[in-house]
Amino acid sequence: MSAFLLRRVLRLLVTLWVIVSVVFLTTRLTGNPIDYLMPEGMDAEGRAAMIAYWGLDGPIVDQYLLFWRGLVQGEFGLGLMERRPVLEIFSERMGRSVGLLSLALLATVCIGVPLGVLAAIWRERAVGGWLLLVAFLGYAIPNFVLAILLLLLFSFTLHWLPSAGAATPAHYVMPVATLSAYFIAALVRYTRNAMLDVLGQDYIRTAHAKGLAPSVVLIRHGLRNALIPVVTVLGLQVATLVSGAVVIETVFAWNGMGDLLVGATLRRDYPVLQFGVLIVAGAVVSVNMLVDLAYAAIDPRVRLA
Amino acid sequence: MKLHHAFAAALLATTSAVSAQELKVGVQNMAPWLDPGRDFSNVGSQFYINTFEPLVGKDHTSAASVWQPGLATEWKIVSPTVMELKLRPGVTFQNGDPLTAEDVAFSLERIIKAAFPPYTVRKRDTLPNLAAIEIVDPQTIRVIATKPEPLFETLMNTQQTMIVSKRYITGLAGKPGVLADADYEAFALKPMGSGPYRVSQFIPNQKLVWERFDGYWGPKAPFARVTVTRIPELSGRITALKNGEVDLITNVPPDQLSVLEGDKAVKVEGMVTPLFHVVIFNTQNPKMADARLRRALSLAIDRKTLNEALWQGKAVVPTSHSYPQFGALYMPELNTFEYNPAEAKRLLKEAGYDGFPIRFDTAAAYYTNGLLAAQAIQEMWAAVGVKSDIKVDDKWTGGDADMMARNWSNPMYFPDPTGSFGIMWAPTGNSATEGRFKPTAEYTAVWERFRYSTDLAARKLAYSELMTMIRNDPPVLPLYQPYESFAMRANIAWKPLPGHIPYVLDFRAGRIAQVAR
Repeated sequence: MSAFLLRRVLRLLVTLWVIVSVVFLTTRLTGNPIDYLMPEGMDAEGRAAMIAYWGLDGPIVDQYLLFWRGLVQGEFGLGLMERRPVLEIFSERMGRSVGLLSLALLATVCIGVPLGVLAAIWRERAVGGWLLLVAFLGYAIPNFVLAILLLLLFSFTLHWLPSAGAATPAHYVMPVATLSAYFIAALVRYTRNAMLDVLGQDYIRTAHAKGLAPSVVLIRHGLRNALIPVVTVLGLQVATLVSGAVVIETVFAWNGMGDLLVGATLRRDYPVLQFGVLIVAGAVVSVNMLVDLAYAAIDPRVRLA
Repeated sequence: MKLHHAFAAALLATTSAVSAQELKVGVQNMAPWLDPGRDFSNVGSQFYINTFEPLVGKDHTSAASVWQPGLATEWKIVSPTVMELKLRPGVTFQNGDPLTAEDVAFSLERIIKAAFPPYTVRKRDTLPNLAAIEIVDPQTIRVIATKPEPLFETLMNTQQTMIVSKRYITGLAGKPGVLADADYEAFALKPMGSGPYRVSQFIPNQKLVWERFDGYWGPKAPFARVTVTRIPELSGRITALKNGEVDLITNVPPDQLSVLEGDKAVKVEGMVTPLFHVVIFNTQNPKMADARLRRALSLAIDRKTLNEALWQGKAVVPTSHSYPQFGALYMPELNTFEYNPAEAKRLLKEAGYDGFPIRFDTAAAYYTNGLLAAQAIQEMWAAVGVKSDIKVDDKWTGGDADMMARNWSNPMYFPDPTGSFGIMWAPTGNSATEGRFKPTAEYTAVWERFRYSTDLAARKLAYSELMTMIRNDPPVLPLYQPYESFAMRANIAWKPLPGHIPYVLDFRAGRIAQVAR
């Protein structure tokens, strides 16, 4: 187990190193922040002075080494645009984004899995068909379209829910619903299919024959086995969830992390971008590791070796 | 009649004093930092008027320049190169420090003797003629110019010359009392001035909160608190307004006005902005060197059609690089720019244009309708036989040697041709600095005559000569002055004022009221 963990952590670190290095190099190859951040009308002398002031005047290898030295020492630098510590910039925005993602993930699991099980049980009844149809719609509708439809209905027309910002719990309702809709729909379909596979197995018939209560058969023998592919899918969807959040944050004026990263990319704000990528990539890679660990918890046959 | 007015004014004053507690504003963009001295952007310019003040004040309800006492109560032009100003006694900054002659000298000298690169740019484009500030006595300062300066009042009224606190800024970062670039950067995150609203919270790129400054020397701010939040998406701003989450929103394009019409809870106020959307040409790109080619490209653009199609006719197509705000120097009669496709075709033939494509650069969404205008212009050029490629990138390519044409804006930074045409096209202006425009010796001589003559007729004559040169060898074509709309709850009495530079959100006393309904 510990050898497994060690190996996974090592692999995680290598993955992060590759991702961050690629971002470091590609952003520097595609433009200089001076062209995006400074006012028009700077002469060559002014440009050179600002580039030096930002610490971007040395050879790229030196900058790369400096960047890693900073990372190791926990010094993430100043954002070029706002000229204040990157950590401070992120700390203002991260809470909201993490809140949005966690609630969306929670909603996905708490709604998607039970509905998927129900859809499997009711596979021959009309209500099961309706569930699948709704799931299909949730799967097919792009999140920004759904966001605008909800805004039009609940804010623009009915005035029930606030549309911009993240100040109160009411502000979370539409963004969480919009972001999780696609993933709930996906999870309903995956869970249903996995359950149908499992429920056709011999050991389910055996369990019924033993005289176990139907609910016990369904949960302990059925769902537990069905969850393995479901968890795999969920792990893969986390990265998609993060990119979905970028769109949702813009539509609902959240001024969150996604919005920050898009802005930093467009303006080549290297320190903000690098730190942001490190955080997002770190989160996605960590979730994938947790998924592997979850296999073992769900299925004792999986050995972490 | 007079009594009636006074009564109405008193009524307005009482209702606003009673009901006005908080104003909530939704803006398209929030500034990344706030320092009036070095800021030149259309984002920051929205905010400074409420927190900072210049020495010379202005009646912003009038398009023409009507000077009023500001932080200086009186002034005189001692000689063509010296202006002397008397400071208003008893003014304090929002942190309680008194505003002194030292602060005034510091504020102006941080630009005219700049070492920090962002200020250096402002020195060159806005205050190139100012040499020094002299403190005569604690209530009197002198502004010393190098050459005769006809624009002393105008320059002492700009956003860039608003007064900041020396003691506050030098105490922000590093060693107290020792000025460093880091102090200026810290100040831009914690701005503080002498105006009626103090900044109580500023989250760069997200949010700005003002609170009434009770120690303000003039009429107190009408709102105890003003919250300005960034709502980047247009549909988001409109929804937040309709939903009552904000009281006022900015940047509503003309084609969205119909969404708001018919709703009695909201209303729209708009104004033609003293700013030109322009097309610029890189005169120094060898392929663009022939003036006939650039003239043809300019003559081929049907600006009236652009206005009707993109702005529903609400924008204003100028005949010259001139705004009504210039007063006596407003010269629409110059007819510098026109639409003449037949002449364009003739010039192209004469220039021997062989069909090479013109690269036209535009940002994706920076200028309202910018990309659509670029696409329409591409069609208009095609109609006279010119090929073009549109390159969409948010990068500023004004200094790129390979750039051939691109869109840009020429705002009016202060009400004189120097403050708009001059900032961009003077021999020391942005375009010459970035190398896409090379003024001839003759052009420079005429510019000097225009800029530093103290005789109005001489200035007008010189400006008309400059416009003739621009017409014959064009580096720029002003397309139109955009029409900017603001939408607000019906109980808010506010509108953009013609005496301001573009986009200013003036929430000072007498400029906004919340009317009880």
